[in-house]
Amino acid sequence: MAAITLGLAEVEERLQALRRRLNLTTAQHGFYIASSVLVAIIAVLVFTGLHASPQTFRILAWAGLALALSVAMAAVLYTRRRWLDTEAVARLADEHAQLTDRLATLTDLRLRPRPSRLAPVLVAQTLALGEQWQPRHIAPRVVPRSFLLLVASLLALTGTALTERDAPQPASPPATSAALPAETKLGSTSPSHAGRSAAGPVNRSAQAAEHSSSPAHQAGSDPVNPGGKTGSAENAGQAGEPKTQPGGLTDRLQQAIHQAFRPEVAEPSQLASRTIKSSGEQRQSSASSDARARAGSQQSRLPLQNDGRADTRSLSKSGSLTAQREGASNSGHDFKGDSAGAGQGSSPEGLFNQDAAEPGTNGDESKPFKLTITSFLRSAQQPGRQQDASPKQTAAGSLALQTGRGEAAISERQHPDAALRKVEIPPDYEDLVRQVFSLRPLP
Amino acid sequence: MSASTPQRAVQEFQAVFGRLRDQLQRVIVGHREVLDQILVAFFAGGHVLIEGVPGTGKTLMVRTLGEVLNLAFNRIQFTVDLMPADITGTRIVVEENGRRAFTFLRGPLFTHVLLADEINRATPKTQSALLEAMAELQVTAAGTTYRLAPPFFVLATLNPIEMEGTYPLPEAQLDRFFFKVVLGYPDHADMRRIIGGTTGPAANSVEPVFAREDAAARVEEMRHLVREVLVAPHLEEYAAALVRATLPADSKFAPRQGTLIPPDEQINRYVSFGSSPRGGQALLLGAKVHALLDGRVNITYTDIDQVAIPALNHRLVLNFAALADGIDSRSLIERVLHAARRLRR
Repeated sequence: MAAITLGLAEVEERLQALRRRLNLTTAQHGFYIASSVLVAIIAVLVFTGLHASPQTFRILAWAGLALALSVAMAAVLYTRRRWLDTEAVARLADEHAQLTDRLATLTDLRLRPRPSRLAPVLVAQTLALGEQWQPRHIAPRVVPRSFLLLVASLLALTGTALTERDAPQPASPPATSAALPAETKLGSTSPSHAGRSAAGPVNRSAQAAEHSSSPAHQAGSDPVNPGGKTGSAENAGQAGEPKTQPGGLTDRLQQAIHQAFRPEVAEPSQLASRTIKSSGEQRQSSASSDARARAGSQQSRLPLQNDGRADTRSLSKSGSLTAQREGASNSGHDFKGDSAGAGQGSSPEGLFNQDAAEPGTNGDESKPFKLTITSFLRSAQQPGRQQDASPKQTAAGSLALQTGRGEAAISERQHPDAALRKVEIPPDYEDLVRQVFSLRPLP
Repeated sequence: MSASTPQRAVQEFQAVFGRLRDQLQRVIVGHREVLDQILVAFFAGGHVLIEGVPGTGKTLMVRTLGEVLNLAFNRIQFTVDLMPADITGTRIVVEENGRRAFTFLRGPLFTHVLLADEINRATPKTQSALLEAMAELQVTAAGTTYRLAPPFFVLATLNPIEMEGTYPLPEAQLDRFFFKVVLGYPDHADMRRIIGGTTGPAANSVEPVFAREDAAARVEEMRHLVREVLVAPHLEEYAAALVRATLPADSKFAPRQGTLIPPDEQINRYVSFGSSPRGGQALLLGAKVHALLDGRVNITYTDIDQVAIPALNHRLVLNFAALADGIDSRSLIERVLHAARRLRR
């Protein structure tokens, strides 16, 4: 009987080892499949978050969430269904090693009250065939194919991230060396942002400016509704985009995706204007025409309000209003306040002095006050700054408060200006901005 | 307990079985499958019903088996006027020392190997005389029960033609037979060997495998070994599922619970009564013999499948629709085996 006991113990030990290995493989398989599906969902969400409209993204996000939950549940059920007990492992080993049900019979032998006198023979035969049912033969340690699926999903996600991060943006001149110190001097530009602007030829702020002039952007840039809700039905209709839920989970997620990959277009109002696979040329054309239309109808505005695309682009790069100005598109309009002479010196008075404007004469010179505006814009377009500032501290919030309690402090002609109201202004620039827009002299 | 003794017993079983088969084949040409089935039933402790047309060697086969086993052998030619007492024995008055007394005169049933030739020619009353002996190894006459000496092995032959004046065996009688094997006509090569070998001056002779004095004990020992063969639970389940699958779905005797094997449409249409639990016993015991012949001490699915047809085909009672459509039990059992493959994971 001792021989049977010893033999059975050895068989039992081997079966347990095989069982552990098989169940681990099952768990790995379920984990890899579930993970690969989840990663694929994330990749799709990243892609659609960058290219799709908020409504489309919302649908896909919730569908992705439902799919992820389903996959997680299916993975648990899959693992549970394929979880093997000792008897099942014995039968599996019998089948794989062609043991003619010896292991299954032996497993049952422990439960029999009176073992057969042939049991030692069965134990001896099974152990003699031990090489056939080694765990490494039945369940070899190989990388499961589902792991390749996970790798493929990770590659897809990485590829999506790299592609979107390195996606070619509308070209703009590189930053001038004179602008960077000015931005740094005013402390409104983070080092990382400054470094990116100086190092890369791609100017992402140009895309931000491009989007800032689109109709959808105007519609969604109401400072009262910073979450991106459309300002009016008319504007919403012009933009062709549905209304978005302010501060919704999917909107925040899409905004976070944009902040991660394209910080310059991370604002919800700008996200609303995006459509899947809209060409850059179409966006540029629509932005330029819109800017021209606005420039024609709203003359004598602030420099930031007029042709925001061109100005913002030039400001963000060099800090000079005139150095980067697109003269071709703007030459036919009277920009007045954004003339090169505006804001010369350290006084903001010149901003609205039409007589001082001499286009092309002094525009190449960088002026401290203009650099301040530049920094303000740049800081407003930085995601880090947006995240740091609490909602109450944002300039948009301040403007909203001002609009609510003191309409006289803001000029009437600034009310419809969407380009300014969409911008988040850091708190330290709030007073300065209020001074500028109310035409008050600086203290 | 060392493994050597049981291992040697298994090897000896294989050797004896092989020698028996060889000796039988010295006389019986061909029919190897039938010979194996008869030997399997013999070592499993069952009885065999051999169905075959006249002249195919049924009687010769059984008689040769008796000679090879070297066991007590009797033959009963069943006729319509055969009475039960002619089989079991009867009490007669014997005068001894001036006194008369009833003494039980044992019939031909008291033997080890019994050939019941053309069993369907006797009346059901006479056929039923075998029931108790086959199932319980005992005979009751005039209120007295007499034990039969093991091993007791009945080989009955059945003529499928010349049905006039015959009495089909009742289902209870059929169920007592472990296997029913069908002896067909030999093929061309076997036919040539038969007519050439049996028409010469010298008849083929066989040598007994066992010594006369210990033949019964050896056979009993081997039968005991068969019952020691191990069966895994899933194989018991498989055998039970096979038996349950032979029951028609609308049978009032069958339980309503679902079966592991889905009900077969032809079973429902052509079968009046399915197999009894004796069929399941025959499946497992026959599979155990097959396992030993293969040198194993545990059975497999294949062992069960090999004995499914001889173990179940006479236990299926077909209806008139089956007769009209030419459906036999063998084809129905093959359908059940095919449907049971999904259980063989």
